[in-house]
Amino acid sequence: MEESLIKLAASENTCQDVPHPQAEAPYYLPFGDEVSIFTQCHRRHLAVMLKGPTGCGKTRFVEHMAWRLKRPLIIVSCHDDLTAADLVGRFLIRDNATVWQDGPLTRAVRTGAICYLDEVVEARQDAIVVIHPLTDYRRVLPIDKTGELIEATPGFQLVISYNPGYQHVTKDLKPSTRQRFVALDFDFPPPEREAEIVIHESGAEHAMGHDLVALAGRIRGLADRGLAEVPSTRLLVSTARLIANGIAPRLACHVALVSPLSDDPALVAAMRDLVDATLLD
Amino acid sequence: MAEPEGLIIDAARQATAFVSRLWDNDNNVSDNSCTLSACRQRLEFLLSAVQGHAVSLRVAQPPPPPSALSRLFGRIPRHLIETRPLPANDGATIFLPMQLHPGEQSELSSHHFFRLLALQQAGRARRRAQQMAPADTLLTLDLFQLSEAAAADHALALHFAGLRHDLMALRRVMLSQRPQPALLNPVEQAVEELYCGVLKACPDDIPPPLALARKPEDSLDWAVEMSMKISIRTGVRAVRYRGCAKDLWWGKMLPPSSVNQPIRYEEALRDMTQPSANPRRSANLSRRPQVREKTPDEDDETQGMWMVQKDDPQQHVEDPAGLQRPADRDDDADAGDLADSLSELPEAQLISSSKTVRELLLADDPLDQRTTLVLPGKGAARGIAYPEWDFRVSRYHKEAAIVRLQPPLLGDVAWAESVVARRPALLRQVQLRLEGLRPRRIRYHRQPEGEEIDINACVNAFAEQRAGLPPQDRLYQSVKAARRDIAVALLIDISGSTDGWVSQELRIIDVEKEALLLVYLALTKLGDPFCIYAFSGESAQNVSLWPLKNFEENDRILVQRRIGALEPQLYTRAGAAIRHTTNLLTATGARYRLLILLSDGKPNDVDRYEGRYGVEDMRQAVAEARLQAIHPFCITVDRHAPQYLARVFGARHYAVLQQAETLPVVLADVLRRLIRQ
Ligand SMILES: Nc1ncnc2c1ncn2[C@@H]1O[C@H](COP(=O)(O)OP(=O)(O)O)[C@@H](O)[C@H]1O
Ligand SMILES: [Mg+2]
Repeated sequence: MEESLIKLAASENTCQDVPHPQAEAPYYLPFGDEVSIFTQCHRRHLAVMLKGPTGCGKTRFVEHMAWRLKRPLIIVSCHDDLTAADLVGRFLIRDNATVWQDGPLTRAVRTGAICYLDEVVEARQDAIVVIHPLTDYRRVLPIDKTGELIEATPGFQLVISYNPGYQHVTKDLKPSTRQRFVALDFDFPPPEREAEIVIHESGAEHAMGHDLVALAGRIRGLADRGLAEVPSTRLLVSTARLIANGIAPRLACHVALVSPLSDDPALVAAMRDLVDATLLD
Repeated sequence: MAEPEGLIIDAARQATAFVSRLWDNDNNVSDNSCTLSACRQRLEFLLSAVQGHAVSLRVAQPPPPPSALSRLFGRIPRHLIETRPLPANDGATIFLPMQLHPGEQSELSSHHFFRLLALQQAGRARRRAQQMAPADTLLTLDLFQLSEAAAADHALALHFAGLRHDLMALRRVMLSQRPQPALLNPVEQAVEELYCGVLKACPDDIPPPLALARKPEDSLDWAVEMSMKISIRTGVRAVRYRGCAKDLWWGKMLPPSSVNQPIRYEEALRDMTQPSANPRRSANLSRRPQVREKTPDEDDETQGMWMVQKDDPQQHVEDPAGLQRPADRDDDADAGDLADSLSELPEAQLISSSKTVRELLLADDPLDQRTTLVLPGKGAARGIAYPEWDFRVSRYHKEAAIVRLQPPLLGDVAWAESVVARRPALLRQVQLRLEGLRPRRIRYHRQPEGEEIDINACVNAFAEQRAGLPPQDRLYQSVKAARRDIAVALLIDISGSTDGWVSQELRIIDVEKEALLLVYLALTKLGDPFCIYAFSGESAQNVSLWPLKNFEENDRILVQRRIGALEPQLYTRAGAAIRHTTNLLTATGARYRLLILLSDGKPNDVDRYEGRYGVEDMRQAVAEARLQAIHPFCITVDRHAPQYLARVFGARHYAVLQQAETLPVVLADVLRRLIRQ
């Protein structure tokens, strides 16, 4: 085989990528020291793990940090069919030649981007293992298919997210993997901040934002009583958007906030009661 | 002696507290849809969400018959005689009447009505005003309650804008029911005027001379001042204030409950060290006069309440309503539980002497009579010793608990068939839920051999070969049933506490058995190895485990008969049982191992294994299981499961059943959630 046939293909349709930060900062309202901690980690080449329930702003935070640190951001949503090749890359045949195409992780390593692996537990174990050498002092990515050993460009940083709530028998992050990360704990913001976020993101009125957050706080209290999923900030934002677009508040809550959460008749009825008691139409 | 009304209220409260099954016992109402029971669960959820912790909702007991009242306190004016149960709270529990009057539902649907009453009482309960309630005069007390109620409504209208309309409607209905002014003396008229003023006003403003009370203290100040003003204004010192007719809006303020809410871990533990299921019951009762009243369910064969007549020369324990308790039915029923509930009585010695109640032995030391129950086959089996964790010294006691495997009894063959015949829908539901878990047929890619060519693999291999890599031989795909490496152990608590009643005719154990049978039937279809063990026992030397089904066993009839034979036994030394089951699971070598504990959750035994000791050992046993890659999960039937469960099993590793009847389905759901890959 002629060596010349192997060349690097330009990144194409491999995954969703946000090449370079936009001019305007993605809106993110911090709840603590996460911005400075993340900045420090970035400087010290430490990988970061974001722990927290879905829809509490983890993705938004990474987008915001990428903008702040002026790094490109590559986001990979992990699923249970995601293999190592999907992250690292594979050979393709094109024009009668074999072309190596970098996967998103490899691209991030080469270009010094922030690589965000969302819901990393979902990925297959072999996919998770390829990140190990990137997370210790070596900061290298070996590609056995091509025999390459890529040293990470200084700006490269690995970020993973993980929802401890979804405890699953067959899916958990191995201790050996966890140990490689600095963990930032995320949770739903305190009411004042959550209201601010909802209002900013949806354009809903001030009072409505506060009412929705109060409502969500009460519904979250039902978590111990059989409600498997509690309303996230994301859910509140989408409800508020419906309302801001003219849907009646109670109806918007019923369809966007209550129904998605449960099928249990008594729980749904109680949540509807809460909606009716909290909001005026 | 405390104030008469206080006594009556208290007695009523005690009565309601124990006749919890009044819920379903509502024979004289033909249409069930507008009673409290129809929306109870919904309201409980709502209250939990609003208060931020579990709130229990109970039926307010009807007031005692007027004859009893007048006998106690002399003549009472007709308009002040209570004719119906009123909404109330004791700072923790909320009581609502079972029914509304027909006229009351014209303005508000019954559900809206109950919802509002519940939220009102919750709002008042949150202010915990009872601790401040003035005890000097009835006038001050009523004014205090009025001011508190108005303040609670104000807060309600403020936080729940959606309720304003309902609040207004409620006030209108109440206003239409006020007594004729002619019946009232001048002092009473003054109070009536204040009350009607509140009812006429909007809930979000407080009509003068009332003022918004931010704290109960403000209400108290206002009430004292106002009662003085009223006495001066009416001028007639001799006129006695007899009270104000109370209605659904006014409700009742019950004496503060001793249980502090929310229950914290330490408190939950302290509760558990009290052997009684309801620590309040006996301590309070001993100070109450007996108000025995005829209730529609008097003849039911159900558990009633217990009262102790302290003034009686001969002390005895009596069930005041003459109701039967479960122990009456069965000589072998767990007398330990019964003793538990009575052992807290202040009297050191109680002698049973009632004709309607079977004899009870209550000694200073409850251990003595607990040992009268003999475990069948005790000592027959060779024991297996397990360590026990002692949190006080943070180390294990070696060989502290001996697990003995007992030969399971065999029950009636017909039992299983009758359950299946009685609950076909439930069985189908359980089967449906587990159906999806059958090992699916999965396409395996990149196999060295198989029925089909794997195009992707071929293209890859081709490309790699062109690029100079060694050739690949994994070019096929095949479809096979997925091999799942799972083993499940079901561990069932059959301790004496499972003798508790969850409905008219079912005890916890009955519900457990039915659930077990249905899930067993559904699980056999999956083909994954599983075992079922029941456990109970007494003392560290005798932790009994009954193997109902080994991993290997497949004899359906045999297993069904064993399940059918389960009966409540003695205590719950959960730690040892969990450790033994953990060992069984580890021995299977399966990759994913589930240990599902079905219990009322409270570890206890005759010795130190109670309270914190028991919980900490159980926690340790669960942690050990986890270290061996076992996934423990607990399902408990106790609605008011204390929060220690979260500490023992970890958040999301336990489920509390709202209704015991849902156990089979929940069990199936839990299995599904854990097994699904
Ligand atoms: N702290 C925050 N600042 C700004 N927006 C937030 C914040 N938290 C949540 N949001 C909103 O919630 C939505 C969901 O957040 P996202 O980052 O997608 O959640 P996650 O990645 O944790 O599942 C975002 O689109 C944003 O509108
Ligand atoms: Mg027990």
